[in-house]
Amino acid sequence: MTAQSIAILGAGHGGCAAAADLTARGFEVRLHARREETLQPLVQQGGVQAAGVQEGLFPVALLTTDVAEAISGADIIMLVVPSVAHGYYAQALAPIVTQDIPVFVNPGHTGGALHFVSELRKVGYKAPIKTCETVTLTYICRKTGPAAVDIFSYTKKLKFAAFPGKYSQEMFELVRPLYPEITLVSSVLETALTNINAVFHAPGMLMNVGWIEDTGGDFLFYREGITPAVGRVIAELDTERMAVADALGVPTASFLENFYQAGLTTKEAMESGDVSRACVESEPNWKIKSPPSLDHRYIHEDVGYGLVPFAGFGRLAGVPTPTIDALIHLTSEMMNIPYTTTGLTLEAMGLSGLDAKGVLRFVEEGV
Amino acid sequence: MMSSPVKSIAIFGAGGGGTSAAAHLTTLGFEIRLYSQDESALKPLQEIGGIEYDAPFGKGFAELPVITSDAATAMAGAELVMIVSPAHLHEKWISAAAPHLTEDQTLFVSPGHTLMLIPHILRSCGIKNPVFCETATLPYLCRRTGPTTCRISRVSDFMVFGGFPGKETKRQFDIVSTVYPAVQEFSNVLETVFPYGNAIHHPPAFLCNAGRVEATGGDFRHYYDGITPSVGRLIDAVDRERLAVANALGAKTMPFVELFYQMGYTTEAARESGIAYEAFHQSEPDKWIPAPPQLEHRYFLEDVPYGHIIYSELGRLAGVPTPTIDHVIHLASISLGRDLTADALTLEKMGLAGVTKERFLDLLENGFDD
Repeated sequence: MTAQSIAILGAGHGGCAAAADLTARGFEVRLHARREETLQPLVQQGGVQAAGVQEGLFPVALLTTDVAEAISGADIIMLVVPSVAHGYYAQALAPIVTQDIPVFVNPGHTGGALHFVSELRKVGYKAPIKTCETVTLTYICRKTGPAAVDIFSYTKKLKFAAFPGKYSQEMFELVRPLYPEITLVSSVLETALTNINAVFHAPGMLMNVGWIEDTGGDFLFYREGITPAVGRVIAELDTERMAVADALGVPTASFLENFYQAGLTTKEAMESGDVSRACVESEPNWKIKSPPSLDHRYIHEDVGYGLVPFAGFGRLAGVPTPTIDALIHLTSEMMNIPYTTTGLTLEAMGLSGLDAKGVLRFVEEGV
Repeated sequence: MMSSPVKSIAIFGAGGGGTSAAAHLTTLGFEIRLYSQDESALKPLQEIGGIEYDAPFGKGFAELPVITSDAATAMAGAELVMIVSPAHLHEKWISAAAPHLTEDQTLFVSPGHTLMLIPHILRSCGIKNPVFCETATLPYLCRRTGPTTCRISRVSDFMVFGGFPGKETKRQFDIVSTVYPAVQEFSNVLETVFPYGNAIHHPPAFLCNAGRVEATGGDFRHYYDGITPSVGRLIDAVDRERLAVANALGAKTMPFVELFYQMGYTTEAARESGIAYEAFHQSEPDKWIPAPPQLEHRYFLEDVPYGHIIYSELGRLAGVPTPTIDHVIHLASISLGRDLTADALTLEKMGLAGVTKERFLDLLENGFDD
């Protein structure tokens, strides 16, 4: 089976980049936005204006706010939304989706596919379902206007896994023509525990809170904000993450290795073992400014849907995660949001009540 | 034991606090005997025979009759022996003073807030029933501006005062208040530990500004720019835990914002808000204080091991969880690249390993009975 018609759910940075890029490359793209305000500028312009990897105005085949219309006749659904929107799409898809239309969660970050399926189950979807995920978005991109996107590059050597794992090869062959950079890994636990953003965003935010709030984020997040002390906290968090992965028997590499493999830093910086240096020397991230406040996905997503599941996997594996716990607790205090309950818990991933062995079986079999 | 009125005061420490106390108390008519083990700090003062000061009470030169690195000389004939040093030097100064301390001398540590460390050191120096007193904070907002000069921007008009053992607080208070009328009598040295303001806010504020400190070399105002609403919320969370620990141990203490107001550091409006962000944002005395240029600074090096850690230890003793405090300690250590608990003021370091809460409270009030 090859995918020719692609339903893209979500018209943010990633959704617009994918719509332009895949249209440019000859796929039929059916783009869905939840809100009329998001869709209208695209309709008026007759597509997505792109710069970078693809240049020009790309007339997307279908622009709609109707999920059923978006997925009608599609070979694959690509869910390109923050984790907090998984519930919305699960609700919309449950009555109309079947296992014949796989769902590609792009990006899955940590536990994205597990979370989406768990949300589907919650709203009563009982049949089997095939899903897959990449650990981060397949593009490095930014929307520059309501109907325009800059696509800086494709994400390199992107880890990809299927859930249930038994469909790995099938899903890989389905998605690879779309994104030749993906590499198939052992399971969604491996993609989950490879989430780079969860490793470095929270320390970068916490240790620069004063700067962010005082100046509205008027500094370069990676180049200036990830100093040696911040780098040490990131490295410690990373050590805990790797210990959790080891204990679960999930293959893993260090943050530095992953960061380098993703094309985000120099070989020299990676080999120096210095996290701060690797971030400072991250050319693709050079110009990226700090978020203007803590009310941002670097906290909501990367703590709630990154560190919280890391800590959950740690408990499951019997591995202490004091640095991860500290970051969750302190950001929770600052935000007045109890991330350990609102975030992506083991329960939210459909893993509650399972021991480590049970989890490994579940990610392979789906039951 | 009758104590004579204080005329002569030995001051241990020739840094900002020690020289400021020497200058200020000289102007009040006390005879000051200045001691330090740091010859290079003493020499310029010995050459001119005193210290030059710039203070709210005037500018001038305070002549000091004794400036010495010999503890016995410094303490001879003094009614009050005043230790003015960072907490991590208490051990050094107290050990130097102990052999020469007489029963009719009052040992006054300002700031103290090291709980039972000083009695423990005195006992290891052979004083079986140690007695001393302390304030929670330094009497001055000051610094040493040069080899022979100091600047006092503010003389405190509110200092929490406690004695050890607790039953000796009143007697010592009557003596020290003749020198510092701003001292307020509290019950014991547990009640001087809790109002140690720097311990409450420096570690979380410094952690939340670590990137900016390193990226800019501290080119911002620590309190005014650095303590933003979210940082303030974290300080409030630390403070709630501190108050819960104090409460469980029966120590009376006030919320940080109230304390800060009582000390004259913030406005009535900030006091009413009850939140740390407002307290700092409306603090005139703290407004222009720059951030430290690097993380190797007492905001972490002193206020974690001698501040946050003691709250955490007391929490453990009292059975009160202190997760925010513990997490700040952990991340401060990681960010510095070394374990701040290693040299910290733990119960063990104060000779209190394994002590029960009841025994601890009894010691605090009644002292040692062996």
